[in-house]
Parts: sequence; C-alpha cells; structure tokens
Amino acid sequence: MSTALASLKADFAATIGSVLNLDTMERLLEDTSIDFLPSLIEVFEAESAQRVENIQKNLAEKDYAALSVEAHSLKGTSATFGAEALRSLSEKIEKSAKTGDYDLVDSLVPEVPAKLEAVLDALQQFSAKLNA
Amino acid sequence: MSEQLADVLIVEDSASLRKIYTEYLRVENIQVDIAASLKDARERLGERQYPVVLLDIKLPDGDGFEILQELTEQDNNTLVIVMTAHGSIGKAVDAMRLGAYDFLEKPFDSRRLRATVKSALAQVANLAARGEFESSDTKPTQFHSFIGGSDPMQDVYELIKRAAPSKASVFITGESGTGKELCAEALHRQSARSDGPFIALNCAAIPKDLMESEIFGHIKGAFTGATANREGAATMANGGTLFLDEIGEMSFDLQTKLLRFIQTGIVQKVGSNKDEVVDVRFICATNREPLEEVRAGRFREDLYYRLHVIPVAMPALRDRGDDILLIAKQFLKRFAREEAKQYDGFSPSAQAVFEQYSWPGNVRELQNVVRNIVVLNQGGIIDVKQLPPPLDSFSAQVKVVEKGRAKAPRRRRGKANGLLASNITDIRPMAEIERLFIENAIKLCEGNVPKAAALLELSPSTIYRKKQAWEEA
Repeated sequence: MSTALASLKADFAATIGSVLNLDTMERLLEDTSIDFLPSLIEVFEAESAQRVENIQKNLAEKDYAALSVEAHSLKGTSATFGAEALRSLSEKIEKSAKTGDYDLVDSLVPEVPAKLEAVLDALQQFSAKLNA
Repeated sequence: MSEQLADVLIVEDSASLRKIYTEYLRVENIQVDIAASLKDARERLGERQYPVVLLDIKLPDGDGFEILQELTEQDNNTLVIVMTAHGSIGKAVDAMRLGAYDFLEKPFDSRRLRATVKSALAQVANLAARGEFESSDTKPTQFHSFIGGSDPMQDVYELIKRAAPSKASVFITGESGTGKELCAEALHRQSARSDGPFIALNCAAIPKDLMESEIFGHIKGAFTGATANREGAATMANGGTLFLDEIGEMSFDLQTKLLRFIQTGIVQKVGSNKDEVVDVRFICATNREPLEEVRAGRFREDLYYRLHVIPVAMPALRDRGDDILLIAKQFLKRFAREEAKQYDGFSPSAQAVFEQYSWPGNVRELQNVVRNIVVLNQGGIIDVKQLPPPLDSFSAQVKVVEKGRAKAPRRRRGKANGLLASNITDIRPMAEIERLFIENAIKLCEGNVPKAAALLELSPSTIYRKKQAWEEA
C-alpha cells in the first residue's frame, strides 16, 4: 500500500495537495484501510453538508452562539482530513462568532460552501484513484 | 455479531469522527457504543455502566463536563477520557481536575487513541480485580511512608487518595526535605499502577549532557561512549509512574522534548528514529516556585500546564504542629534499634526546642538531628545539652519565647482601613480589591504562592488560576 500511496501522493501533490494534506490522508489510511475510505467520505459529506446548512440557518437567524458550535465541529472534522484551508476558515468563523465580530462572520460564511466543495472533490479524486 | 458488551462509550457529535474512532478501536477488538449528544450519552449511561467513556467536550446540546461531573459524583468505576480541541489545554486541565482519567487533544492518531484507551481498560480491570475503588483504610497518623496526623498532612493524604486512580500529572512543590519523593511513591502505590514500575529521576543530579539519554535511552553509537543500547527512564516506567524530581533544573531544550513525549506518549532513543509508544503517569517535583520559573523564562509555559494538572504542596515541617515530635519519636525508635541503644524519649525542654525551631531543612534535617543524637550519646532521656548545632544555640532563645508564649502574637483579622472608601466615588470593584490583597500577600511572602495561599486561607490553585486570568486580561 505504501508504494501505491507514495506515487499517488506525488501525482496529487500539485493538484489536490493544496486542499488536503496528503501526509494526514496517508496516516489516516495507514491507521484504517483503503476500503474504509469511501464510506468515511460518504459520512463526512452528509455531515458537513448538514453543518453548512446549519451555519447558514444560524446566520440568517443571527444565532451566533449556535453558529460558533457548528463551526467548531467543522473545524474538528476538517482537521482530521488535513483540509487546512477549510479548517482555518472554520476556526476564524468560530472565533469571530465567539468574540462578537459579527461583520467578519457575515463575510466569511459565504466562503464555506466552495471550500467544502473543493475538499469533497479532492477526497473523491483521491479515493477513486486509490480504489482503481 | 458478538454478544460482548461494549467496552467504550464514544460521546462525539461528529459522525465522521465517530466512524474513525470506532474503526481505530475495532482493529484492537475493542467494542464501542456511540452517543452523539449529551442526551444520547445520558440514555446510554442510564442503561448500563461502561468501563471507559471517550468524551467530547463540545456537544450540540451542552457541555461534556456535565457528564464528567455526573459520573464523578456517582462515584462509579467508569474512567473518562476527555477529547479537547487543539490548543485548549486549559479545558483538558479542568477536566483532569474534575476527575477525568486522561485527555486527548484533537486531532490525534490511532496509536495515541489505542494506547490511551487500552491503558484505561487495563486500569479498570486491575482496579476491579483488586476491589480497590474504595479508598483504603489508613490510620490518621500514618499514610504509606508518611508519619503525621496534622491538618496540612491530612489534606495531602486526601489529595493523594483522590489523585492516585487518575492518570493526571501531579506537580509536587515544597521546600527541600518535605517528602516530595515519598509523596510521589505514595501516589504510585495507591494507584492501579502499583504493580508497574516506579522510576525516579533526579534532574539536578545528572549532568545536562546525559539527561536526554537518561530519560529516553540511547542506541549503540549514538554518541561517544554509547557502547551499547540502553533503556531510558521513560521506557523503563512503561505501565507505571515516572517521577522527575527537581524538574526546574531541566534544560529548556530538553523541556521541549519532554513536552512532545507527554503530548504523544511516544519516545525515541537518542540516535534512533524508531518510535516507541509508552504508557506512563508523570509526577514531577520542584522546590522552586514553578510559576515564577515560567515568568522568568526558565520553564516552558506549555510544559508547565501539561504537568501542573494536580498540584500538591508539601507543607513545611514547622507548619505541621504535633507532627514534629511524632516524627522525632519514630526516628528515635528506629535509629536506637539500628544502633542497638536504649533511649527513653526527649525531655520537656528538648521537646520545646524541637517544637519551636524553624526546621529549614524540614523532615530531612529532623532525621539527621535525631540520628546525630542517637549515635553520639549513650541512651536514656535526651535533654537540651545533647542537641547538636544549630539547635543547641537555638535552645537559649526558646526559654525567652516560652515565657512570652501565653501572649504569642496572633494574626490580626484585617481591618483594612486604608482600603475602605470614605466617599461614594472611592468605591472600587470587589475583583480589583481581591487582586490587590492577593498580590500584596504574595509580595509579603516573597513570591511564595503556597505560603500566601495558606495565610489567605485559599488553595494555591485558586491563586494560580486568578493570576493566570489577570495576565490574560
């Protein structure tokens, strides 16, 4: 598995490497199995779609406390995949919702769906190549 | 498939993380149940008792601390491993104080999770087998190797009993000779790890160059003189307790490596790149004021917070009242037996000297004094004349003190006139006054926080917490 992974990592370094930390992905796969990845991506996709929906709903209702909790969870899951850009965006949202910098929250939330889409895309590509 | 009851309840609101953790543990054949919220967790825990609960702190319907508190209050045998977000070490420390067994900082890898959960399960099995969840009966004047029934020592015994079953790091402070190593040994012997090794390392006694190899070991050829592979204290303590005495003496560079070890549970021998996972409980001690060391830049702040989870302040002998004579008599009995001599105790005036002397070297000094007396004299009742220096010169002052003892100065209950506002515009916030009082007390105690805490009748941890909050403000 490690040689296949190494060549995959090299292939992907230029493309999805900026969205996913491939070392983190590699460790995750070593700790579990290649077969495990598709079902994990499925759960992550459903979960994060729900979170984004909740965040948008919280924003519409100006419920920044709930919004901060959702952003915190999104931060945790994205860290697990090494999705650094999504993680740091979630962190910024969580922090500014907590400190009352609502203007910043308002401007950052619209960036989430695209960032998440990029992560899901990268995960799908990675998984497809791995299981090919 | 199997009818086996789950070993672990995972309380985690993220479905992806639940799935990953379950998979990590499945490989080790550890069965899990899951709960996605506080409500779920309460339902599961209402149905049965779990050996181990893996608990996320931030849950959609509340704070995981609630579950931790409920489990601690029920006093059942469940061990709780708390999962906190990266960078929230303060929460982890709070959790350990509330009785959590260990904590994991997210994101963590499978090795860390498996090692932590397996160690917790082993502890539960071990404790259950020995039926020692109840605190063992102890005579009030004796506890493990300690002698003494004074109030400050009762507090120490109680703290040891409460802290022992957890894996939380313990930070022992106290003057030289107060029994910091005895305290570490008692914590080890009182814990479920007592069958495992107790490895003590004195950071002040080992040359700085050799310290890393002493802790982590080395492989053959790692440096000049490394002629064979050698285990370090960290791996030798696997399954037991590692006691780092005089931790204030450790170089800043090595503190970084120690921090990494504590965070990951992984050690690398000097000269090797092979990781070894070890399961160790950390106890450290210093006779310096740790927070002062942090402030002076000599001790890493992050390491301090990792280690300073449960602080134990060993009282000075002079603050232990009747313990002084109790310990002196025990030493007298022991050394007389060793020297094959017959002693009949101390005269009242010798006792008065013992009671009023300040014992800067604490129990160790008392031990040396009694041994000196036993060796240099023939036996009978020990009188003032037989006391060695500096007690012999001190005894002259004792009589004076004895005369005036009836009017010994009592601490005045504060009438803080200067602080009482005489005008409504002078009224200041309580928090500000509290800070002023505490900081003044610390200053009067020359930076000795435990001493200031004792005089203010507060716990030292309260003061540390407040100081931290003021610094962050």
